[in-house]
Amino acid sequence: MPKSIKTGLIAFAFLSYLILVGLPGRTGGNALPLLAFAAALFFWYRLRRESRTQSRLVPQSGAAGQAKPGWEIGHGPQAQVQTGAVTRGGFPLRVLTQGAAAGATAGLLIAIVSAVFAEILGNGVAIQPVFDKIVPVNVAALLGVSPGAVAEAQVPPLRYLISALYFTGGGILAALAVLAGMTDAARAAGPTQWRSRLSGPAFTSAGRWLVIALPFALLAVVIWLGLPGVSLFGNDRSTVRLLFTLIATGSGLFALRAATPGRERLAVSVLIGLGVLCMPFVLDQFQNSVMGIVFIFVMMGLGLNIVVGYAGLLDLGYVAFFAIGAYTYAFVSAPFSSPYISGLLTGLGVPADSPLLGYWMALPLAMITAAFGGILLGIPVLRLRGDYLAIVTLGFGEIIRLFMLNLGELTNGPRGILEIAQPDLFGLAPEAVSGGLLSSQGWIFLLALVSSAAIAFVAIRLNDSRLGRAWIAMQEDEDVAQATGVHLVRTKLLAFAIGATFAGLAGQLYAARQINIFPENFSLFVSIDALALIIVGGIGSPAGIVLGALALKGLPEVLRGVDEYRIVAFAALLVIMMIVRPAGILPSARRRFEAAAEEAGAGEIAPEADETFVKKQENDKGTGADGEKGAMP
Amino acid sequence: MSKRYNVLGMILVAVLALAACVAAPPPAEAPTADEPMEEAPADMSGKVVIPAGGTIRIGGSFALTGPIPDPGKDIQYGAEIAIDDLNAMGGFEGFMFELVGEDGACDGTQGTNVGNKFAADDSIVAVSGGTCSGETFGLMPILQEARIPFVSPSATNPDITSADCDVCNRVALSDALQGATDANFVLNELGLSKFAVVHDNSDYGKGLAEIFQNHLMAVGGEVSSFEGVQVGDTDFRAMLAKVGADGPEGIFFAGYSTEAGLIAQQMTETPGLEGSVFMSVDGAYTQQYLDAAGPAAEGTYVSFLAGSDSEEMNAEFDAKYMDKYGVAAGDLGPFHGQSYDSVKLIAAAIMEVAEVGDDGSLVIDREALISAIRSVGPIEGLTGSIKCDAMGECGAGGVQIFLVGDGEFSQVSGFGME
Amino acid sequence: MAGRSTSAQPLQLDWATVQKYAIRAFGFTILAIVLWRVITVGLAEGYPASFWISQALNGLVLGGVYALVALGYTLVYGILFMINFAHGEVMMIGGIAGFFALQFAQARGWMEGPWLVVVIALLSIMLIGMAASVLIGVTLERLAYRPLRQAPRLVPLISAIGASLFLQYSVLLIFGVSPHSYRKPELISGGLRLGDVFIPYTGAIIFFTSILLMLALYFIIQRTKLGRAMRAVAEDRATASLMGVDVNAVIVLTFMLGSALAGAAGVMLGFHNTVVKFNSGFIPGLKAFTAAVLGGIGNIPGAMFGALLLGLIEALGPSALGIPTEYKDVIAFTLLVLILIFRPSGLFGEVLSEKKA
Repeated sequence: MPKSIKTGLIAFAFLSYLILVGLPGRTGGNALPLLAFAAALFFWYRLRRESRTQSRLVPQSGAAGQAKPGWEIGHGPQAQVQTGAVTRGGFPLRVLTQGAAAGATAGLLIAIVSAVFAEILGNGVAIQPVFDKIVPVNVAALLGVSPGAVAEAQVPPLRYLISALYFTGGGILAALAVLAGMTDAARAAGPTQWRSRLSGPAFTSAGRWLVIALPFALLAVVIWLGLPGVSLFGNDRSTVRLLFTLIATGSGLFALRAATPGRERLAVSVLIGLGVLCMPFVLDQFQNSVMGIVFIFVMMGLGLNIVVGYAGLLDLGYVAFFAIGAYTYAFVSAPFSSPYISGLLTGLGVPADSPLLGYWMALPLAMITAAFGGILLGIPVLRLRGDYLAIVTLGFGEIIRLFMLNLGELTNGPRGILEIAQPDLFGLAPEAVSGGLLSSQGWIFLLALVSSAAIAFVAIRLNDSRLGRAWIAMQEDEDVAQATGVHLVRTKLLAFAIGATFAGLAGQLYAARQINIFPENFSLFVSIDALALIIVGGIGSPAGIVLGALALKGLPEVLRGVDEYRIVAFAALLVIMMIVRPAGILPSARRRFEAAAEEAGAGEIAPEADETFVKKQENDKGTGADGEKGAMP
Repeated sequence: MSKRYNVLGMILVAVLALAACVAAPPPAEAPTADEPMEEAPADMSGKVVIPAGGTIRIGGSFALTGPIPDPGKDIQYGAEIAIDDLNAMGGFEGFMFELVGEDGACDGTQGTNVGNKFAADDSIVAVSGGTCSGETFGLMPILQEARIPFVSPSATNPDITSADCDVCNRVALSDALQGATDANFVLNELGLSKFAVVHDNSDYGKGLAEIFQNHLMAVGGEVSSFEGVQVGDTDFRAMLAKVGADGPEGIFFAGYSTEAGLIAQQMTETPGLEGSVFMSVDGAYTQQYLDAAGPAAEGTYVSFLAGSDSEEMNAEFDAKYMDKYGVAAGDLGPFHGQSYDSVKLIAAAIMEVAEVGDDGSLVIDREALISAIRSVGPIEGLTGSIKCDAMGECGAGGVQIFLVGDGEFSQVSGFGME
Repeated sequence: MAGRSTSAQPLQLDWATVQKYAIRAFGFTILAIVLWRVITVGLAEGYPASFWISQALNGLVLGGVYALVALGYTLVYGILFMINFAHGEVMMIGGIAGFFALQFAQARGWMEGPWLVVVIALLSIMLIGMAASVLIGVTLERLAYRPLRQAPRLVPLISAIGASLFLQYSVLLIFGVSPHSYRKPELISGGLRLGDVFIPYTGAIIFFTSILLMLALYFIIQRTKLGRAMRAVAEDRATASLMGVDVNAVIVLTFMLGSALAGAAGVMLGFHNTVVKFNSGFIPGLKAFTAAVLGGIGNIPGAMFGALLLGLIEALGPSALGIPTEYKDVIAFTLLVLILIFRPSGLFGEVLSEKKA
């Protein structure tokens, strides 16, 4: 049965990766059970998918020959064609043999590879110049022996067999799990089913109330974890509490969505708002600082969403406005860090080390400067579309960063602007005003929260306004929009300016949070992060953006414990996320509708490659059927 | 009917949560609120209390990702070996040391996050790090507020230590010293006066390059051009051709090893620079520099900040390093010695102020530790005898200048040779 | 372009006309300023001619590398309308594989042998690098892009960004943090010295190999059955599929072609600049993408020309304008913005396909 062998080979590739990056050594000795479990999870996924496709496909095997590029993972053309030929008989036994065969394949190969490694290392030859992580410790963990045994070439041959058996066992276990989960009902449901379950608001009444109550319960856990005397999780408590905080905030968004519109949603949102507002007071400094950066990125995300999500202008240089806001505030708050301004002020007789403007006075300045930057970028790119716009904005972001780096006289170059003032509260330090209730990081978090709320309010109102409709019309088709009376120049420039303003606000708060800022803080990766978070969250949806920021800026901080694996894990999640839920975790109402339409029309070929971000207008709602889109010019 | 109960139930949960929120003691009011019960008596604010059987936790901020992960890793390894050594000697009064390493990513934002993480964790006694100056600037204000002293092994920006910051210390020598010594060396000992100065646009590289430039001009030399490159670039030919058109007698590069090696190599191919001398700085004092430059490394100069006379100690350290990580010390970066010493310095200060309480727990007074770091010692470290001055400059020794010959560094001038 | 409509009604001053003339006036002003600056700097600095020739050669070599990578971007974009952000990493993988192949060859002493052996070994190293890149490129397509073919176009972009990070940091984890330093064999180290101009052998090899590979690619696209299928898929995927073109196979082959070119670039860049590390694909990738857009993304001669232009500008720009080399990227990106203002679909427009975006 070549199919299960193929599964085994893929599992082997996957396991080899884990071994090469040195995971076995990190498991504290015996890595076999863990790796076997990881393999079992993979086998389970493959076997389950396969058996589902089989049971779904057999009655309609006539249609299986229709090769169609798979939009949903799980019924790509090969899967359909190949499994269509499988006959029905002996289903449980077949799953079992498939699992065992896949497991044995992977296990055998792993055993061979570890034998080769052990042999080489045993002869005193280092593999490290090639594979950095293949050292005796790692190989020993893989074989369940002591590192010394590997180094001295004394691994009992039985060990290799045991290691192969572990993976075979994993395969059998996975098959059993698949069989246990294969009730008739589950078998009847296609793989698409769970997608709609997640995206649709089809909660039962009790489930709905559970979803609404969940954030408050989680908040209670967060608060409880911070009480004196709670010693759960030992040294990791701060991190675990951060995780709970992130989940609580995220579940609040699902609760909002679960509440029926009207008075109920209002009540829920007020309560959730209160709950979130109390967070800065109860969290510790680390959690507050992470939540602060999360909400600063929410501010950025909301601004970028106007440019990308509403107006459909792909902006890869959004960090430029963030940098402009940050540096504007830095210049007026710590003017003596900049050699040029310092000289200017000394010439004017301003005493050294005195800020020019406080946080609040600088607020309009940062907004105006950033908006000006937005228009400055907007004018030359008015005629550009799609990816041309993307690369030009990317270049603009780099140009701004390089200027910050190289205009040493003004920006102090790579040595940055130091000692930027924190925002005050009626001229006083926040700690003093709140009677010690609010730490400095908590205060930044609170400000970020309030600013995000204000920006979200403005963004939602804008989206519902005449301007918002103009943006969407422009996004759909610029020429048609212009023909219907949308003033393209004004509409585009407004999108850039408003988006930039929000980024400027975020940048100002970021500068205050950082206290010292450097050009390297404003690299391309900030733009990428901001773009990724709105897409992961669900483009066009403010709730999705909050969720995206929680996931992309918050989770990596929770993952700090796995230091060097942090970025790989993050990157892999990003790819998987895009494949599993391309519309984002919490898609906007428009996109949810479109996804539903897509699913309804999934039977037909929808070969549109260069779809813009939103495929249909609101007023298409009645006609629905998506399959006709292919026929549209 | 059931709906009304649901609403009531939800409101009840919410009210309970909010009530708990208001009732919960705020962290700022009682900094020890986060500590487990058995170690948090009320009068222990400003002190770290380690229960019997616990470990003395020292934070570490290392650049494990970002632009220079290799030197960051090297610094982490150095700190880990220091912890191993301390524990091999039995720790302190039965308490073992523990390194809580975090990724500072050579970046201010990450530095701020790491700082906040340490500040929120009441069991962190002191911090070794950060790797880069920008990262350290992120740590600085937060640790200052939290009263956690730090000793950076490698942040060389002159602004890291100042009269305002009593928790800021470093084992690395300030760039000011190195830049000036290098300028004197090229002018007085090599007899070259016309130099092109190149930096890597990091705060470290550019700062050092400017110090060199200013000093060289002050002592009568000439700077023919001042150029910057990007960390991560690999083709410097265009820049070198421009530099070479002015016919300098030598190139001074301030930055890290890969770029230094490539510049050294590519300048041999550049018209006008064939006979020029190449000189780089401590960031390039690594095996990587020699690898990247290849044969072109012969005859180039590299300066380094060190002053060890305990060859034996260094050899022992190098053996442990090789043993534990399978790489030779110096392959990844130059600062493992400073990193080792910074942890040793912190440990020495802790041993000075820590007291065993009646219940068998170890009590460390934060303020006492902050001043102890500056008063303890001198301790024997890998880079010499370490003792902090009132500003927090703890580095030992001075600037050494090495000439590369036969693929090895050999000292030709500077500290230890006068 | 739009000249026909204005010549019919020359006196009508509507917004579009005003805009057009404003842009032209702006363009000429910029051009005049740049020319004035170049002339004054040229007179003041008085660089010899050999200097300009050296710089131009440096630029052409840089451009050759960009071109090979840019072709990958352009091919994939022309067919899938997606920016394969991880393409620079595909190149880096080629460089890494080439490094290990070179180590293997050196350990066996092939690099010191007679010149024929060395040449064969070098070619095999390049082939190994290309094969590794092809493997990664195709895997990337299968795992990260194919499931997203029907998704909105931002989604594959984010997936590609994720893949780019994943590849970079996987290489960091698997092969360690130290950069991998190529040791050039005697045969290709050094270079040709013509008066005051020095041409490194590796540079010359890069330039001519990239021209050769590009011509081969152009031939494949224009003259072979596969090329026709690719152009058909680029034009209209659904129709091409109805006409009997195996769309999946064509896309995979496109990725293979693009990755092979990137792998060749990775190995040659390894020999030329001697260092490969986990992030050494990122900046060339970004530049190559810029070059592809400069020439008109989706257009093969455009990508070549854009890349060579970008390389030349980067090498000559700072000297010609008399500003520090730190600003070379500023010059490159400003040039990009200016060119796109006047020619919104790049210098050569989009030829491989015609599309709305």
